[in-house]
Amino acid sequence: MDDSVVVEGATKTFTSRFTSQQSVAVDDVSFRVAAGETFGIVGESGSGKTTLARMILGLVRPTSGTVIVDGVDVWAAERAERRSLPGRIQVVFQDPYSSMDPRMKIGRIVGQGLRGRRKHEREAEVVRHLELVGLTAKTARQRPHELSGGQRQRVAIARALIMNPRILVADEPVSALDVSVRGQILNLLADLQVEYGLTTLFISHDLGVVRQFCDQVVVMSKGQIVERGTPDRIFDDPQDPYTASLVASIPLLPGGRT
Amino acid sequence: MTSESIAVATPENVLELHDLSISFAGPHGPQLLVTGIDLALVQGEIVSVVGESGSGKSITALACLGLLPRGLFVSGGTISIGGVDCTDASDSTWRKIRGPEVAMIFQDPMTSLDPCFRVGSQIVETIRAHEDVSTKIATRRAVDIMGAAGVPEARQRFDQYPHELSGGLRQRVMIAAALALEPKVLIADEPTTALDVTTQASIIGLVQELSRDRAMGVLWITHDLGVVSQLAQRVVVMYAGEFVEVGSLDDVFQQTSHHYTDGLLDSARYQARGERFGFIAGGVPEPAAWPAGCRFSTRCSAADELCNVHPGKAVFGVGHMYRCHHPLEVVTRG
Amino acid sequence: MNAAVPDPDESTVLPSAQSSAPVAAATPRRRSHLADRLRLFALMAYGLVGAFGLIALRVPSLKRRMTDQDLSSTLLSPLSDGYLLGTDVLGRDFVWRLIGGLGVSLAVGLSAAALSIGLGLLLGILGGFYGRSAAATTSVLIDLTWAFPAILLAIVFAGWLGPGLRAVVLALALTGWAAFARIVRGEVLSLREREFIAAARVLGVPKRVVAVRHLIPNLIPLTLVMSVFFVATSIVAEAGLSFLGLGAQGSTPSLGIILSDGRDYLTVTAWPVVLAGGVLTGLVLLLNSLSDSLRDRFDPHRRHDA
Repeated sequence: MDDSVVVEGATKTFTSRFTSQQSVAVDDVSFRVAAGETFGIVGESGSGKTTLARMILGLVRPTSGTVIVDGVDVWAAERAERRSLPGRIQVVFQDPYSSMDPRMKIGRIVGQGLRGRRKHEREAEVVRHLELVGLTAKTARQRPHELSGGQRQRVAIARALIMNPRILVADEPVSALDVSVRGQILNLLADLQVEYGLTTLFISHDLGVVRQFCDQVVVMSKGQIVERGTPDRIFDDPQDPYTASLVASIPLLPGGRT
Repeated sequence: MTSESIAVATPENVLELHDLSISFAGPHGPQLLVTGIDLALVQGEIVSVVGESGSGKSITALACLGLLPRGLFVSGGTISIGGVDCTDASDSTWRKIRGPEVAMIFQDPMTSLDPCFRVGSQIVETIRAHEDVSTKIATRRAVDIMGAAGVPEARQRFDQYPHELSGGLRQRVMIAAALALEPKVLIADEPTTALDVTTQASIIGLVQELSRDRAMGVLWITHDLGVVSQLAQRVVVMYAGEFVEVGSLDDVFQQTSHHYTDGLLDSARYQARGERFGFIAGGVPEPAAWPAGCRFSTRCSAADELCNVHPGKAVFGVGHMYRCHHPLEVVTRG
Repeated sequence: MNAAVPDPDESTVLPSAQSSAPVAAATPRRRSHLADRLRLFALMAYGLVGAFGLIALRVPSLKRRMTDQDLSSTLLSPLSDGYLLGTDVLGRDFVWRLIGGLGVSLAVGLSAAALSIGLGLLLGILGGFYGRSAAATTSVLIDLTWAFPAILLAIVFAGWLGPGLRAVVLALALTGWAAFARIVRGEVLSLREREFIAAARVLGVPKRVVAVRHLIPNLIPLTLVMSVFFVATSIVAEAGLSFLGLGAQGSTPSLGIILSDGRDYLTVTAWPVVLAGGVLTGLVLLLNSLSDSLRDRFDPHRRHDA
């Protein structure tokens, strides 16, 4: 199985309960992500990238199309196979605050997915992963509101990695963080990806970061993929007008690359 | 005030902050949140205040409108708008100032606009709250100002509700409402953060145009250095409640003196593929935990014992201010 | 500056939003603080008396004081002849009648509320968190129950189980849960969109566990507020049903029965009605006020910052 994620003709149509109006959030999207690859999905709000991510994660059922993650058909597999998905694919969400139950302690949050293990084993795993992301064992006893945004995102990464997934979906992982802190998390993600051979789906509206981080990119607008290719190619030679406008709007800061 | 009357011989300071400090009335006594702010905004000038969480940029902006939330108060210094000292102004005085003298636009137009009322009527309401004009005249002025703010088909849009407009249009309506009484100062707190890039670019263009045409001073608050580079003539960098570097766009971005500014620029820059992302280690200290000396010293690679003394303002060249004992050598960045 | 140093986890706690400065809670208001204390004190007093009443109902020697008749001293006014609050039409000591009545009110109120809340939580979560068929079924159940008058059900239960407080409690519980379930369902619908629920599901946590671990703790504020309110309405409902003769039977005191008896003799003396009515009204007002202030305290939109 060479490809970690295969999306074929994924479509999601939402119908309003009251007005019977239909809106197409994701429109016939297809792509493949090779194992170990960093795959960028670029789009602004309303482009459908979040809905697409949720379809891949098994949270939102596609109206049509298939999603195959690590060989498992997410929406058509047997129960036993579906149960194996948390061990194959995990997620880091955008908002470091709302992605954690504010009433739970960090240790419990990180260890949530571990099932059927003895308490001390679970605790040891939690501490190991907290340290992996640059935090300490002490953090396990704290609550989300006691941590900074950057620290919380580290916790979110620990929570995802403790499941030993092969694929990590990062949905705008640094957009809600201060600019000076983003680099810490991005570098961490890059390091972990190399160390664990993770396939990463990196979803963002920031084309500049995607360029630095990803091997392959698709650009989404209004539910469709309007362009795909390597970041360099898209930057230097955008074919689609929307992509071109995105590239053009990236400001040039002194000392940086275009 | 029409464009004709602004035959500027000497630019007037439309907004002046002098040694301003803002505190919070805490259970253990007042806690400083913002200290030693000096700022002079001139007609037609666009100044951008850059800062991250905990910098105090938003409450500084709110203070300039007399809108500090309950529990916060100006604990020192002065605020002058259009040459008039407003520091101890009463609520009723502030109400007279807001609109004709100074106005503000916020990040989320959805919460600034009442969803139950048509957008046009909200502008009319603003006008009639300050001036004794008929609804008809106020309506005409509202439609005009909406047009000036780039709202297409302003007369039709006038009758629409906020939820019927896109984010960009709502923000334009906000701007129209803010400009309806022709203020001398416009304060904008992250107005484009929630918008997509193309809309952001057009709003920036709009504000530049309006500032020029109406000789209006603009204070644009943001955390986005990209926006700053597109928009600002002067830049103020704020960290942990104080200004750490002030200067022209060129001064601050090309001849950076303060290490925080340097780190911020480094973090915001895009690197080549495979390179590490720039960042500043550590996090912003809470006001209660501000170091006695330089507030950035806990995260600064150039910090030493000297930095245990709070750095005063140093000026380099013309109007380039920084607070640092070890400013970066002036190196022109490529 | 760019040393790859892991973020130190001490001290620096950042406020969450990008553009807001660290601001803390609004200054507490002094006046309501005192009112809070008074209310708490009053409620505790009620609670203690009620608890005592409940116990007394079980202890024969004490219960006798509530039921002993003294036909030579009927309808006495308060502070007459050794009877602190007077007597009722059968010469029973009013103080003890009230104590017993409060005990009954408490018992009924608490048990009806507990059952309602329990049912309401269960069905509210089922209706909000599980699939389409569960949602549709609970929706129908809620709508049916919502429209059903408690009194009718009480009469049915009275016929089936025999009249008495058990019938009342059951009737109240089986009609009261619907309102609460509806509110819970609404809250669950919004909670389930929260990212930490999505995260739990991606982590493979089964729905049942998510409901217990995440939904319920986040429903506690709502539950608390509604429970207090429910106790109040149950108490009034019981009083009403007893007033109609469906509730407490025989010599068991109930505020409703006291009111009912008192009504018959209103022309002679107003004391029974005034005293029992006052006790009932006071209790309900206190509970409502507590419910309001709990709701305010838990309101997530309460402005804690700018």
